Amino acid sequence: MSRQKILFVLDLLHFKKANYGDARFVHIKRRIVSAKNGHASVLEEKESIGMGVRVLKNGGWGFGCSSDLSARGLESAVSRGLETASASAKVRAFPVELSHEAAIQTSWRTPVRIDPWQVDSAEQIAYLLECEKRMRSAKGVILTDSRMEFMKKFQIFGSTQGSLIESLKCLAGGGLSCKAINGHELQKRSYPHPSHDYRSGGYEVISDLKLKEESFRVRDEALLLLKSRPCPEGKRDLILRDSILALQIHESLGHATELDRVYGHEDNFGGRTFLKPAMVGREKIGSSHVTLVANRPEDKSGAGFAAYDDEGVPARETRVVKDGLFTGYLSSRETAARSGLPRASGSMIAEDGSHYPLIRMTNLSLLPGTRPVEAILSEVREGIFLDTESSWSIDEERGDFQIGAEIAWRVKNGKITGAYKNPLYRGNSMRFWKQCAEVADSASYRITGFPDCGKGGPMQQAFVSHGCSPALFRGVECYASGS
Amino acid sequence: MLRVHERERYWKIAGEAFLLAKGRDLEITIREQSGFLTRFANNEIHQNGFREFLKISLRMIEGGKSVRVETTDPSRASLSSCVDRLKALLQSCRGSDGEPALLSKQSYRAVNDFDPKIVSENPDYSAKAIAAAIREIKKTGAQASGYDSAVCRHVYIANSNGLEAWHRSSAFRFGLTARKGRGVGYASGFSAFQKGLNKQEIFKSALERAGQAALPVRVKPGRYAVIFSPRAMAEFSAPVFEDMNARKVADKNSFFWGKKGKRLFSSRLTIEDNVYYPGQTGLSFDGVGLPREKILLVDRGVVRNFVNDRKAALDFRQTPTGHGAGALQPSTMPVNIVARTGEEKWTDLLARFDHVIFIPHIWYHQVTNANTWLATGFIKGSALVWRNGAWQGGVQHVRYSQSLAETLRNIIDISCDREMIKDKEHGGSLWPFTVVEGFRIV
Repeated sequence: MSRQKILFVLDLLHFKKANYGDARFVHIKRRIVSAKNGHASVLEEKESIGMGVRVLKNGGWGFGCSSDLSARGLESAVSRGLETASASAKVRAFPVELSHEAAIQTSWRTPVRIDPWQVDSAEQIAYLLECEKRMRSAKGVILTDSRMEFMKKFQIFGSTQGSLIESLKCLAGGGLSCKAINGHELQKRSYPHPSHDYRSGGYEVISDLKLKEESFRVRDEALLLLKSRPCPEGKRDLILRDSILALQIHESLGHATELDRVYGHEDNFGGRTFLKPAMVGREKIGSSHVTLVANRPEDKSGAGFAAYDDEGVPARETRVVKDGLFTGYLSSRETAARSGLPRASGSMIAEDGSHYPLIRMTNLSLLPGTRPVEAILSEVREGIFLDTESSWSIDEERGDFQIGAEIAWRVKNGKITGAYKNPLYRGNSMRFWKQCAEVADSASYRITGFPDCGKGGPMQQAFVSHGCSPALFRGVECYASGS
Repeated sequence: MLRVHERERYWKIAGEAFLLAKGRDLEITIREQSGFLTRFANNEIHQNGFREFLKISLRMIEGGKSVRVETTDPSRASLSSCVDRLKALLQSCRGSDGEPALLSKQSYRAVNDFDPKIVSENPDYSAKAIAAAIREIKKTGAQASGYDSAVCRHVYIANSNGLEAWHRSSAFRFGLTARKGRGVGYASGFSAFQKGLNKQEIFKSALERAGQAALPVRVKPGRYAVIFSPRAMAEFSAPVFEDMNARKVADKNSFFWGKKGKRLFSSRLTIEDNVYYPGQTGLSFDGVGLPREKILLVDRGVVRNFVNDRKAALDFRQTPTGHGAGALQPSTMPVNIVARTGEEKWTDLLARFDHVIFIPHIWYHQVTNANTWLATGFIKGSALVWRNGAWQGGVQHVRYSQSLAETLRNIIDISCDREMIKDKEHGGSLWPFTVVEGFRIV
């Protein structure tokens, strides 16, 4: 049925003589279960169905969409796409061209062991209430929060070039947070991170996350912070892991490698990039330990993974940084053609059928090194090991940044000897990645999934993920918020 | 042509849902939007599209429990499936969370923010306006990136206890970043009415600021007198309003805990939440259909009131303020900010200074310490430096780091001119230009 609707739209686009057109039928189902302060707080299901139609006519882009999937609704989406394309064409310096892609007819789906919709929501609530009970089992804890969320995104993509790709992407995720108070001081710990961690898969992701098992640790660390000293100021060896390193990758290099930023498409909102085209293949932007790869085949469990993007381009393994050398961008068919690249990277994703696709990070990972994290840590004389991002701020070109963490662990002579509160570190993307002294081996490699990467106007949210093992950075400026 | 609907369309959908619920307590919230957005960059249009959506959110309440299901399909079959899912979800809940019963019929004051001319807006008209702006920009050797949009929104809430609320609004927005040499100028505008948005003035203003910032100047780390544009102050102060939630305060999860009635800010600062204020836009009801009240938040620097949802009002025995989130916004907070104005125009305030930095827009503004309200972020585009009666040039990538409370305490003057800043679906902020001393640039 949905396939017929796609074919109907593509026929209309051919009939109306669009230079190019693609259509996405998108059906999204979500379930959100959350608890707060020991009580179930949200039990919600959301479903959206829509068709997004992108049209290229006379060298200009247009877009129309409809949640009314009757012939009338689809005709309206097509005519709106054509109308906006014709208007765009009047204000173009030169016509839009697309990089070559072969037509593909295929299907893919996320492997799922347990369908979350087959699990009674009462069981899901009970699981969270047990987490809440554990976090609230000590004096000083005042606020607790826990959540799980599931998503199924069924999509059919079709293009006038002959592609027809059917997909079912399933995501699951969740997390905890605990706030403790002493007088007027409030401290917070979260797990796996404040935005909650998301992965491709079904209900089995929740047991893999081990929320219940981590509840006591989250509680204890929130209370520990109340007794801890502020992070001391000075240049230190810094070890980042899991979500805070994923965020560092995301903010300072991930966004910087989006090719639409080079062409100013995000200038009025998200900014531009310090990575200029002339730097490709010429400029070292990190140490030899830094290799960043998009769409790594090993990372299919990441929340950002899609076998084909919303332009029908396969997720191509793309090295954006190799041994510290800047080697390329994440691209769309339009920006790839404009830059003279033979192929797009397969990174164009839209939030749903009512949005047009944008260049996204999907999966972008830091490749692991060769030694275990314990060996790296044992060689640190005086340093801090940061866990869990709490704030982040970076300039419009993705250069100067400041990132805060929920907790800093003091490392002395290779051993963790205590905790500091309110830690912050700052740096400049290029200098910072050159300070990378080592990345741990694949034994400690984790993929962090964020549900809320914002881009575009109107703002679109996207799931993205980043794989990384803990990494050591030498001589980083650290301090405490408020120092 | 943008689609404009009448109340009856939603009334029929709601009636169907109530019939399917067979007497169960049901609330329905419908949001429908029709609009287009044109984005341009480097002097050409790169994205242009219509965006239309319909979202129907159904909430069922039973025994103090509440569950919600959302769909985009208004058909009888879809509504029937939603009602079945609501019943199934309710069965998973045990005990009571003290969710209040449905409200009965309420009366609402009108907010006039709908312009019937919205139907005549179209992408061709928009492309012509952008082309005209770009022609002028090209003549000066500058480049521009920005957006032009026109949107018509409909919100309808009804429940099986006889409540019915409805609002239709229009929004016209235009904004751009102009680059000239090393100068970056930003300007934006919003109006609920077509004639209220002067696109030519906005692009001229961005271009003028880019020109004023073209000469690079240095600003050493330190404390400076600064002037926040209305946009910059709306962005800077946003976390303050997130903490003005009565439940967060009661939970000790707000900076304002234990501070009600205290003078925290400059005596020049008086702020209310008031959707009925001339120039404000938005809904006269909250997410469950409770009428919105005008609330005095800050009176000459003293924190007076917080906002609540219906459950918090009942739990804490407070007067309801009409700020429940429901399906309309992410959380309970003031949404129609009106800051009182001063006596002089901002250009006159500027002229009084030997040295001051103008902040047009901020970026990545984050609170880094919830206990001290220390915040950091960047000035977006160019910060403009005024010295000895003239603009000296601009500086980019300027980071600040200062407590929200200290910044608002250090306001030494406020202009009489004010702008409406609206970036979200509902609500907005009416802020004047604000002069702050001792603002910390790092």
